[in-house]
Amino acid sequence: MRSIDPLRQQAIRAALRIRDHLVGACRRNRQVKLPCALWDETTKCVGGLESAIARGWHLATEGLEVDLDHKVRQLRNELDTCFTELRRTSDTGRIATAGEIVADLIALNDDFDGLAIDTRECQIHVHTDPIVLEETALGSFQIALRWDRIGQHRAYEVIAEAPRCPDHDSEVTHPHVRDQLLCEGDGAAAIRKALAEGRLLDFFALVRQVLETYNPGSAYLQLDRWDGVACHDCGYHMPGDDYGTCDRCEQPLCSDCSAGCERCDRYICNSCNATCEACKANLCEGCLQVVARSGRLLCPNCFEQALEEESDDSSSTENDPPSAPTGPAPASAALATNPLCVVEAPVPA
Amino acid sequence: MRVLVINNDGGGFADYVEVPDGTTVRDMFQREVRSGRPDGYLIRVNRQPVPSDQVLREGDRISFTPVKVEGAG
Repeated sequence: MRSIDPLRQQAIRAALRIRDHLVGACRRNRQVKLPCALWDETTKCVGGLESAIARGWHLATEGLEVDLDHKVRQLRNELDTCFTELRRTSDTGRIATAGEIVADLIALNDDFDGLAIDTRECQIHVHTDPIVLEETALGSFQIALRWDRIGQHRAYEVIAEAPRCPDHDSEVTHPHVRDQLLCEGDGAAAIRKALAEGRLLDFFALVRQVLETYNPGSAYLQLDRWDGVACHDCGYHMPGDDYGTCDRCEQPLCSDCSAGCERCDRYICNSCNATCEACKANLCEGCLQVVARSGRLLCPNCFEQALEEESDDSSSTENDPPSAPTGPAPASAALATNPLCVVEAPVPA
Repeated sequence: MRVLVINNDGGGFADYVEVPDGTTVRDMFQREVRSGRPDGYLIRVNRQPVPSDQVLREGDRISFTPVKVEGAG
């Protein structure tokens, strides 16, 4: 008895299932809707016409004849549409035969490394050669197809074998791959068509060609920004081993964007930088204090001054006649510490 | 004679076409991929790479897949 090699045997099993799925998907998409409602209307129209003729209602007969003519034409058009749709969707000639799918799977084994066919999981995967784009080595990728998902969202994934992600985004493994999803760009239509028609060799080849092509104009991240980090404030790209961070929020910061707090000398980013509303000094948020009554952000010096003014106001209010319905809040209550502040507000004597 | 032509450029195309006897791979490329150079495509007949002067035979499957396919992000 002649033995079949294991790959061919597996390929035949998979091919039969893949073709079943593709033909099934094609049939599921078939939408042949007979014009039943229009047929009923036309039948009624014929009945009406017959009785109009029988009763000698010439005017009604003329009107119903026009009506019937219109309905029959409409019916013919609708049936033509059904016929076209039926022919289009039952034409499975565009779906690869099981033999062609087997040939594709065997050719895949020559074209790619590590072909694996898992009939239980309905999965086929291959490995690309290591991919190098613009001198950036990205390693090899696994292209994993779930044939039972062809025609649905995310029928395949592109998985980096040894992900070499940019420093600040672990989801991006390739300029055109994020979260194991290839952004197919110019290849989208051809990839979809190859999958729908069961041309698996074309599908895997197209995905590989997208992976081997770099389109800097439309990448998740450009390769010249792959290594290193972007300044949190201005986006300037800095080498991965030579950049500063904000002393408060620890975000990457370039030298142009880091500002020194005039009080504690820490280097801070724009988000953590604030200005005293009285003297306009630049301080970090931690060194500013908020006056509860007015909500003003002040540096410690201006805060002290505000405190004294509050105390003076408080003293003068105490000397006022008791006719005032409500007195000002005590200075201690009027002043509060910024929740972010590391320097406590001075307590009034 | 009838051959299956697959052009994976753009929207993708796969269909049987009638071609005269003696048609070569180069002839088919010029006929199917008008704006491109052969070195920008993986050209295969019956899933195998072939020289451009190979003559096609009845029932052959010829495919053109662009080498560069720009993804997006």
